[in-house]
Amino acid sequence: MRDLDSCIATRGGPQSRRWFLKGLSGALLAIPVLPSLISEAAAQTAAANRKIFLAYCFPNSTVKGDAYCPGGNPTEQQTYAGFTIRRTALAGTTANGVTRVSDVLKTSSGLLTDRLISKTNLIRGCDYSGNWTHNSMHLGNFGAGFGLPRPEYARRTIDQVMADSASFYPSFSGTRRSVLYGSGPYEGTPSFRLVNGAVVGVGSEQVKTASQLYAQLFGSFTPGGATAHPRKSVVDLALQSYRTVRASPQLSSADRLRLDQHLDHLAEIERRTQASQALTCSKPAAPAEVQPAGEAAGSASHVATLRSYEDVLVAALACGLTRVGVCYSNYNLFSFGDTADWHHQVEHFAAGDLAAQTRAVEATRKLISEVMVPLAAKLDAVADTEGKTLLDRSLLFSVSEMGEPDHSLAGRVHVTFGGADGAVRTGNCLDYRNLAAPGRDGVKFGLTLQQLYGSLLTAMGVPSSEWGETTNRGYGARPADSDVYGGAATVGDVGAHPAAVWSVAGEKLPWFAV
Amino acid sequence: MPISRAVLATLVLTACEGSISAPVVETAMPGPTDPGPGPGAGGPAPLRYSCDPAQVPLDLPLRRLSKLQYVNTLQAAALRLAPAAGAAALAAAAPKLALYPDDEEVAPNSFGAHGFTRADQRLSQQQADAAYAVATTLADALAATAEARRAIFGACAADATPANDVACAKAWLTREGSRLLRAPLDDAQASLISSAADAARGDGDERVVFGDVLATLFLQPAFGFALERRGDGPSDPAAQLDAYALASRLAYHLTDAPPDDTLWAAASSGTLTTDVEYRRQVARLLDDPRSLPVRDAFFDQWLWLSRGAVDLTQQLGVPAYRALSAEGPHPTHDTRAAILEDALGAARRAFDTGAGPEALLRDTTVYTSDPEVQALYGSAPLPPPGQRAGLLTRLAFTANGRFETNPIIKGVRVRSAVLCDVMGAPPPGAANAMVSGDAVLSSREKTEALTEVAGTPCVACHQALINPLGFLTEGFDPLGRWRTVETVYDAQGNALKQFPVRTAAAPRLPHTPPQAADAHELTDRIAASGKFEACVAAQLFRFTAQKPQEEPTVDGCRLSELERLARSGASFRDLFQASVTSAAFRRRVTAP
Repeated sequence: MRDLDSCIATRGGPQSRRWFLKGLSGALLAIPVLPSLISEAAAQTAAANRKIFLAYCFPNSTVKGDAYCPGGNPTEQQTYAGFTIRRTALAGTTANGVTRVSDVLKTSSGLLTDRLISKTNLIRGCDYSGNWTHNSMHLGNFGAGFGLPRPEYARRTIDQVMADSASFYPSFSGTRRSVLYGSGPYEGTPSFRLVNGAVVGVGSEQVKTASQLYAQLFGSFTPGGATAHPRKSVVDLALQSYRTVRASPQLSSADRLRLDQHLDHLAEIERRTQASQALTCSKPAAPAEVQPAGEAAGSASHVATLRSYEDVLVAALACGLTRVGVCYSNYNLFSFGDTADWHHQVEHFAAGDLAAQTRAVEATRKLISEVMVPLAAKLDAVADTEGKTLLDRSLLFSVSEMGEPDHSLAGRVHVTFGGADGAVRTGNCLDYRNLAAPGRDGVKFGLTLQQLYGSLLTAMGVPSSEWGETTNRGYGARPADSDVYGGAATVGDVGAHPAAVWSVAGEKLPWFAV
Repeated sequence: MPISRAVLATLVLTACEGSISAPVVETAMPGPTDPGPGPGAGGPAPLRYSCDPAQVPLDLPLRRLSKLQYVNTLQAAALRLAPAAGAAALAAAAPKLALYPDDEEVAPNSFGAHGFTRADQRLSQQQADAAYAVATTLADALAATAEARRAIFGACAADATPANDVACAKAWLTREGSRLLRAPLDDAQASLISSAADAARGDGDERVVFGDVLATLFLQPAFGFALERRGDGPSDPAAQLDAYALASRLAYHLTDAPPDDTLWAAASSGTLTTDVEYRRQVARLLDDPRSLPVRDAFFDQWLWLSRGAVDLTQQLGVPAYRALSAEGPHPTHDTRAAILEDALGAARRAFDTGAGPEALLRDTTVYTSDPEVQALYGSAPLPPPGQRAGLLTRLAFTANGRFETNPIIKGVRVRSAVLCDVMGAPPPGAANAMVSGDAVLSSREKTEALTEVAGTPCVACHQALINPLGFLTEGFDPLGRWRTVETVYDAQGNALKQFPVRTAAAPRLPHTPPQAADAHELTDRIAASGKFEACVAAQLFRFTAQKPQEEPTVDGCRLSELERLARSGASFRDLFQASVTSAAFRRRVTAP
């Protein structure tokens, strides 16, 4: 690895940034250990948008909201959308080397520090009122949650809205717009993008090992400002050939649409080859090839698999090689090895069976506290000369497939880490439930998922003109009355959000987005 | 947790390997393959499909090669270019190839159904990235040494004289380019590709410039896509595939590989467009061992064989399953492969002996030498008389490796994969259905209590369409062993109760007697209904046309031809042959 000063000398200019490895207490350490240099490309885009979005999606998790949020009196209350919402400042208690904020947020006190807790949020009471079942609706695309496609609700997921946005990526040069990674086997995808006007799942792009992610992000990356890619002519010539074929009268319009799609992909490669000549970031060593754990491997093995991505990911983010990542863990990730069928023997009963709920909580804790917390701590250990860390720029976002009632999309609680470069206030449990409402299957409805996702996009610097809906001004369509869980008969009663809630769906969430 | 509750939840799932685990129920979507009128007997079942010559089915737009076809094409190219060193070059590119996304099964629009990976025509950035990385890595490896370049391009590629490199590359392309790109290469294409050897683009290093020539060739549209001309309708002469396009379509369809020397010669001579020569080539390729994996893939994906076959040792940590399997036979990790071998063996046997769909449906011979699988069957090569009924009682259909059977999953599989009926999505909240009480129930009783309660939204589909097809094979336990008694265990593996197995049910197969006693009569009913043959036709059409689902009206001519053949007792070989000798296979019609 090149030393810090020599790298700085190759860049210069007012936008140059130095990245330091920080101690977990927040003190700056003298020696950069991780890939420590921001790229020119990243530096150039920093002035506009340098935010990072990382989503951790996982299946099932029929976990009661109280397991996420601590009890006690709220720090603050206010009336919003016609009812009372609450904010409670997060604080941890430490005993025997373990810090506990809640049952789900509990791990080694060396990782879950007061500093990290202050950069954490728990968000409760932003519900989806449409049909409930298994789904691929982690990050939006509410058209996927009905068992069969429902095109009227199909949308790009929020990660792909960011990936496509010129507001998020002022330049696509030198960056991969998004990466998907995780541990298999699994089916489905949480990520959907627009392809020729159609919403298409992009699960096939998901890498399954850290070495695959390394190859994807650093495969054609050459450090030190050297000529990075001698093969630009190959891409140019391929593009020329495709354009020649495209002009053929023997092709149909549908043929040309597919060619255009492939041309876009080739053009993306060309952009990267052009931009990589300017990159000066250090290239980390390739990680060892570790095959993902199988379904029967048990949770420790799966945690290790997901954690194996940390170093590659942090290095790539520090180098500006991408700024959107989606991790999707496999179906049986949280099996403890002694359960034949986690989904049907635990999750189906977690809503009403204490033993099953306890196991579901512990499984969810493993992803939140043993996978996400260490990553957040690592991101918080890489700082620029202003003392801002990668975590400060980032928004790590957890999203389970289900919420508190069995197979529901209501009652989900989200964990976030990081401040989205100053766009998000942190350190709170934000409880947006309407406790005075009758509730449904034990869940008190509050605000909408549309508002939460709209707030996330806004916080990440993507204006609502790129995703806003005409039906509610949030992200994603409002369910028609006939599609509300329980059917039209429940609208206005307990099965849907009232008009006052929909009227604020386009606003930033109180106490959350600045 | 009481195991009975867990079991009930397990039973609720219909397609838990998919993204939705909820009961299948009837919806407003009748589907073109609705099971039809209520049960009844008498008269031959009507054909499902009919041909309207006025209908014009459209081909898929610009098909890409499947991943397997792409890999085989790379391999053929590397070994053609460098018979000795090609394997090492392919090995060098293997890590990049690992980044190429796998094709996924594309299901028809039916809840819980599965389809063929060939229908996956998605294009993605990752595909393009991987193809680029593979092309450059493979090309670099092939052109790495002067000796290798000399062998491929001639002496002009290893003479350290940059001035002749473009001409050298173009001369080579004139000789080899057509074969590698599977179609005549015109001068403009050859000039464009050979321009990669222009020293001005690189640093004059012949290793680099000739590597770029090869990489450019591997990234050509004709390398990764099926570039076929189109016509406006069946009678449009432009719609008829030329000899080269026809050779590629046939070769990729039957062997997942580019045309071999014999087929290429027939294309080059133009004889391939004659019916006699074309049929001769079809027959040759059907006999070619390279077509076996393709046929295996068809049967495997059609009948959900790999999907359904489980590792029977995986749940041995569960006390109830351990108790169930204690008396043996004792499966090993190899047993799953043997279960697949057995099921595919039946399909291979049918194909090789000129047998047709009904023979496959009724064949009870065991096609594996694995001792555990043979023991699970009771004996081999023929199971004990009277126990097995054929396809639906093979271990690949009956063994689920859990502590009890799942009639719902079995029923959905038969309804969807074997009969090709369409099912709608379950109603909201269906997955939350549970049965109260702690009574010890048999698998069938639990299924009935969960899904056949009058007045619930589940009953319509489960009672009529799904559960009976699963009940009829309840004569086989979760290990696929024949049984007359079902033992129910608690969570600790203690036997709670034994139940005599009840298999009788009403399978709702039109034009057959309403009731069936067991798997034998279920097989009889299916054979008599004509639905299996219609399903064979639909599945073979999907596999051949690479469409997730047929359109019965528009695609009726191809479908009805295959259905009539299947109903007439034609062999699988005849059916495969008919699928590629049809006029529709030999032309390409698309919208303008």
